Amino acid sequence: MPHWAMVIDLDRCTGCEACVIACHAENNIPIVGEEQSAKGRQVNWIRVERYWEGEYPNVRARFIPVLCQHCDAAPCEPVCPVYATYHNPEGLNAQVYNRCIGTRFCANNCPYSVRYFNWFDPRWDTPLDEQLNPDVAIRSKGIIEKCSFCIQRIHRARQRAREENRAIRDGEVQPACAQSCPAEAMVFGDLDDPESRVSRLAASRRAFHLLGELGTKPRVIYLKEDEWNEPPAE
Amino acid sequence: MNHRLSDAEINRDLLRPLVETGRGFYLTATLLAGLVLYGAAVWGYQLYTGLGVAGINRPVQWGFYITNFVFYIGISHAGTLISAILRLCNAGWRHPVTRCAEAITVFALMVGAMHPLIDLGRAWKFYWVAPYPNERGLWPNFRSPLLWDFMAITTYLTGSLLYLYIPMIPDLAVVRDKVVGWRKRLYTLLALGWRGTERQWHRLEKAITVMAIIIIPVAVSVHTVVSFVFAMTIQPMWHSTIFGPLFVVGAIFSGIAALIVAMVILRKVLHLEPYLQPRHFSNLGLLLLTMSLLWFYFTFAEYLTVWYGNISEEMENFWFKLRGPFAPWFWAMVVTNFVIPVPLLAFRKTRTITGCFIASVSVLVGMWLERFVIVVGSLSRPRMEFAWGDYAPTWVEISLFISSIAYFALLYVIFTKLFPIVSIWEFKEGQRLVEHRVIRRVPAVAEAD
Amino acid sequence: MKRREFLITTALGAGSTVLLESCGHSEEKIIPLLISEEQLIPGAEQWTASVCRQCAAGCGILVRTMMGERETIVNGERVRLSVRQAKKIEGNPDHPVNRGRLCARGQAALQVLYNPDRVKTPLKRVGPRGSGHFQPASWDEALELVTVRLKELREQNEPHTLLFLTGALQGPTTTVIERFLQAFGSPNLIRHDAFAPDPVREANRLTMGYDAYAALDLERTNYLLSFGAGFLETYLSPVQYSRGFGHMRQGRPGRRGKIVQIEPRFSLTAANADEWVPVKPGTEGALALAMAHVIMQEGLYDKEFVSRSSEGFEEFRRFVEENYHPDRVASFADVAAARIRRIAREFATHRPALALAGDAATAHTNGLFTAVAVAALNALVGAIGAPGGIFFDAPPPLGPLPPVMLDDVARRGLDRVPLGGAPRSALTLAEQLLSSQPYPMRVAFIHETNPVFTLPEAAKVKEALDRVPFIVSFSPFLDETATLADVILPDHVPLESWTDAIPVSGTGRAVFGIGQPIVAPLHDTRSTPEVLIQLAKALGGSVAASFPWESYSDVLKTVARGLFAARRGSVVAEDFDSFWDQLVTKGGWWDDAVPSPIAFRTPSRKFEFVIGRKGSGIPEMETEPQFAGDGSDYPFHLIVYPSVAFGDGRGANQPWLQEMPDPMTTACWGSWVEINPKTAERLGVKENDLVWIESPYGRVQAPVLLFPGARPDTLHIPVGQGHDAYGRYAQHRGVNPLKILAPLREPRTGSLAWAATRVRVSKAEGSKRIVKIGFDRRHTEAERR
Repeated sequence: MPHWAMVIDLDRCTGCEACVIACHAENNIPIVGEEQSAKGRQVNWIRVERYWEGEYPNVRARFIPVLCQHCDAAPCEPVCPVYATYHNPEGLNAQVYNRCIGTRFCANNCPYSVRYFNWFDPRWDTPLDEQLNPDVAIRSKGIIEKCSFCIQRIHRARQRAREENRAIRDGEVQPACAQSCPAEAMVFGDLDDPESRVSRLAASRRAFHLLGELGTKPRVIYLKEDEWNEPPAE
Repeated sequence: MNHRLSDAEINRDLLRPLVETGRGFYLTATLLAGLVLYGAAVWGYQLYTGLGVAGINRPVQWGFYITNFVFYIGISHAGTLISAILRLCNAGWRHPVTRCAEAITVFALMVGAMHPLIDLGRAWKFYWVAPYPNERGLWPNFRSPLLWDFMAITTYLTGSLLYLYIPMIPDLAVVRDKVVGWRKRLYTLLALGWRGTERQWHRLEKAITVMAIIIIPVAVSVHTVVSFVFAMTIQPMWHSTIFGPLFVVGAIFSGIAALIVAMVILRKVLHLEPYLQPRHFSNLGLLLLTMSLLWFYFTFAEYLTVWYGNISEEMENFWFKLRGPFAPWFWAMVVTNFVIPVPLLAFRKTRTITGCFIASVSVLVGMWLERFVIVVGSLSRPRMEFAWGDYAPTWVEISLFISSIAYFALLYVIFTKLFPIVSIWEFKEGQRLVEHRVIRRVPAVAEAD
Repeated sequence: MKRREFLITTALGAGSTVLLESCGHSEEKIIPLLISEEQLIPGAEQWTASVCRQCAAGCGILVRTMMGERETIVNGERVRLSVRQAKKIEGNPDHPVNRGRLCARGQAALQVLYNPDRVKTPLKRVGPRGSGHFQPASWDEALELVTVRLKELREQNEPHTLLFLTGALQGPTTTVIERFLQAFGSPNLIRHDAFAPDPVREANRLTMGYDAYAALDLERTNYLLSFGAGFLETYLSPVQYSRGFGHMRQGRPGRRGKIVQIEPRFSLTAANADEWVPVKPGTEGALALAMAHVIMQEGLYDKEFVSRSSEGFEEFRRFVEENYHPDRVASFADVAAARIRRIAREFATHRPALALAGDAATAHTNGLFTAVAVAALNALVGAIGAPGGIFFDAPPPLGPLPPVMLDDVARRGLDRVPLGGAPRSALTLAEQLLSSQPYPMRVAFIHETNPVFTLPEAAKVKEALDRVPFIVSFSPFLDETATLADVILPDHVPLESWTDAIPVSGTGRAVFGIGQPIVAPLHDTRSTPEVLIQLAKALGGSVAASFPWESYSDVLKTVARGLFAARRGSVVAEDFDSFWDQLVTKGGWWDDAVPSPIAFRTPSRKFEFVIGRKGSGIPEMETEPQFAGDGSDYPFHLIVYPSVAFGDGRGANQPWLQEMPDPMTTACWGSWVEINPKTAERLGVKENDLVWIESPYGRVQAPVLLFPGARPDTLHIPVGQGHDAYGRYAQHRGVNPLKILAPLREPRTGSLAWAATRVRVSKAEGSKRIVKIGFDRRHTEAERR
């Protein structure tokens, strides 16, 4: 059984936000508008965080795309009183919308702040709703939602593989964000397969976990190198 | 010392609110009921539109509602715990205080337990946290502190109700014997055939003692469990081992304050001056003083360990509260919980009824602020700096807060209308016990030898 | 008819079908490779190739379609139709521009298709011009209105008074437009794309003989020196460059390329660079030459390339040595001489290296000088036609169309002096329209461009267009320019029609992208090339004879025959029909990669160091930047920038993009002015305070955003917001800083020098909280105290 994971190479990521829109398109993420955005109620299953360092002219900006880390030891899972969030056999931290009653306890216990609540019923101005992906449920008001690693794409790939009587190939499943990434900063795959791209990248000396000290065992692995160094003269 | 009241006087004074209804009652009850109905309408609006009408957001997922929840559950410690402790310690002055305190417990629990429901995204599914065989084929998640809360609060509510009810049975019998019509039938039913036989008294005493013993650990655990909702998470400044005792101390602290405030009002409105005497307030004031010092010590310990530990995420939170945008709330909490009440209560001269009242109101405000600082203050500064945010309540949350106070008051007002708010038999017994004890003082010492 | 049957799934019951005909000619728009709508299977997905038209980059896309439902009213009854719906857009993995990747704007094309504010039928103006009052009209009626006007022009022997304004796209659509104008008899085709770096293209033509943008081999380069080009955000082909960037950074084990970004603003590209050089605006060219100075003086240049493949090196060298000593440049460019030297050395010694110019750096009156100077840097390090350098693709070998039929009227018209000057510029055009010189225009066609929004108010585009008695817009949205039209003939959006794109930036190989209609048109709209064909037929005579095609897809087939005949590249087939099928299935044709070295097409057949040379057609170039506004009255440079979300503003009606946080500021749903925190302190303004930004040409109001990446003497406002029209999401939101720019231009190309305006700042009343999704500790906390 695959154990899905994602590698995000911060040396490649430009912060361009393509993944954010890809996720919106794929996962029927509602637009909340200016007023609600101002209240911190935007839904971004993946968001690109930007951190400033230094002052002019020695200023730097770091980008880090943050999505659900699908922690193996997910702090959000034990606190849900109704099992709306649980760990599925393939290592995904899954949110079951139908079970969620909206305590938002999981969101408070997520150190990455990647769980989003539906403050209202979502609304699309007709005919924008024609774009909605039928593979993904629309979430009603009062429930938590979050990145699913595009589980619907995993399902489709598995179905395809089963029809063709084979295993899912490495790289066959791409969440929408990873698929769109112009700089190819995101790689998704099976961490149990030592030959997969994701496994090989995860073994990099550049690899680290976000808030790794918490021991949440995230399934999102970041890569980051130091600065450019003068290469040795040739 | 006041003169000894006759049984008839006691009966008359304490049953008066049940039989005489003035305009004041109707006015108050109507006003409160209006506010409650308004609150119900606002909640209805929130249910229909979505939780977004409140000011909560990401990262401050919990705001006024959970603050109020913890606050009310804290208040609920007024009664049962205090009265149980006083009973078990056999504090002689307790008799006029116990019922009044126990009623606070029940109503504060009822109002408090409502708040997590108001805070639910899908409140109409609240029963999913209850373990019962269901079509979903799922038990609730027993690992979740919220479920422990659900259990603890239902247990505590059941226990408190019993603990309020059982000692009231003899009084109900008195009422039964005084009233006519439908009320006769009601009190007959409630009095459970109380005749005042020796056996019945014996059993009552036994039941009360057992309940008092049981209810103390339940009460302590309830507030510990409430603290677990925060302490079990890894949210900076929630993840604290001191939260259990801190919450219990805070709960007793705010409970006593609520009790004093209720007593001052009852004394005035129901003319209970002969029953609720300055020494009761003074004694409760001393208790409040003790709790204030304890509260300060626990809070100091809470912040000290954070500061000493110096973990960056926690320090962000720490400074946010101590000198950041949240500082006004934090320091207002210190002032109202410590700076104001301690001097007022420490000196006999100021530990008057008025002094106790001022101190108690201050503590109530302060303890609400403490919950606010814990809930909102900590949530505003989660680990990921990018996700930091702030919170302001909307008219919906403010309306529901006011309405919840009105609801609590309304329940209390109706209770005083239906039941004697000072335990008649206990008061009488107390009066006699004092005499008895005076008579028996010397032999008692001899017996001990 | 039978192809366009929609099953009514409810209401009307079994057996009854309704035939929805959008405009009576849809047989021409047959969708060759899609499953017909009645055969859609619920839940089954289909991916269809097309090209992205959200900007000029020309990325290949795959569009996911599925069966869906639409509620509509048929004969007064509410019914649910099962229709094909577009669900998602992804990059086409085979397409050489974007290799399966796609930017935010490209993906948001779905919200162009399903935008609630589309023009749903042809419209004719009823109120006064610009009032925005229109009345729906039938296509017959609307086309008749236009045909009458066009016939009039030809009858009165004035076909040259037909003006056609279009955007930057290249390919057969443009060919149809050009052909229509030719056959009609007008030389007046003007293209306008606000942020197209025309000086770069002109520099490539002058130095290398290619009137094109170069392909950048970022994947193999070791050192990238970018003068202003925001190649990771909006510059020409950001997806392609981002991919190259990723590879340059981490695609080669053990080799991490270095990027130096030289521009006044700490842009997204600068943020991703290894080094940012906040140069004084307008001095980028001088800085490039100072680096050239170092490279030449220290003998670090590619001597072999220079001696073998270049012309005018000695003159260039003399000129640079005389004028651009690093110490001198350092004194006015605000970059330390030691740093200039260091970067120059690094650049020359870490080959393959590559220099690049664009955006604000070339949007000065000396923009061409800057572009040429940067081209010279490329020559000095031998980056031209070498791996890790720059290349030029050949144009795709499209099949020729039959010659245009010209009658006497057309011939006479074509002989007239074209408007717009040479090279053509919308700014010049506006002046000419205003003065009616050399002649007044009588009919204007406006297609895929919105100059009223994208040109400064001082250019008086609105007033100029008002001089044209009859304006026809093809815009699918009521944007600022379309609002001025007398008749609107709404175009399909690209996902509904045959479409094509030749990428604006080189890819190292010839590319022709093509896309078929993917969903049935949502509204009563028509594809503009089709409309032009129809108009031509209605005009009759030689104009009609020049368009011997039934529909636009026939035009595409004709040009595709050239690709078929080439028998190389990505699609090769035995017969044309299968070639066509494969072409459309793959979403285009691309050649094999170009071999290096490249052949220069200059008169000398070598790279020409234009700078410092005199005569032989070398233009006089302004080396010093001119600015509008005196430095003492207007102490700040205003450098606007096309926003990552909206580009030049055309993305502003797509709610995904409105809600998408700007990467550098995390702000969304509005406008702001970026000010260096120290400067703001000096001015006494805080974050979110409203300020007036005033140039000699007008003023705009915006809230202050404290931006640590702004020079103390420079302000920045993103472009894209501030629409007066353009639908519910865009209208009356934020400000359009382009409005207050000076109408200065780079003299040689006529392109707007949009970075050349100086402004002053004054505090306005009140404040407006900028909506940011990310917490900004420095400024949010400070503001609260």
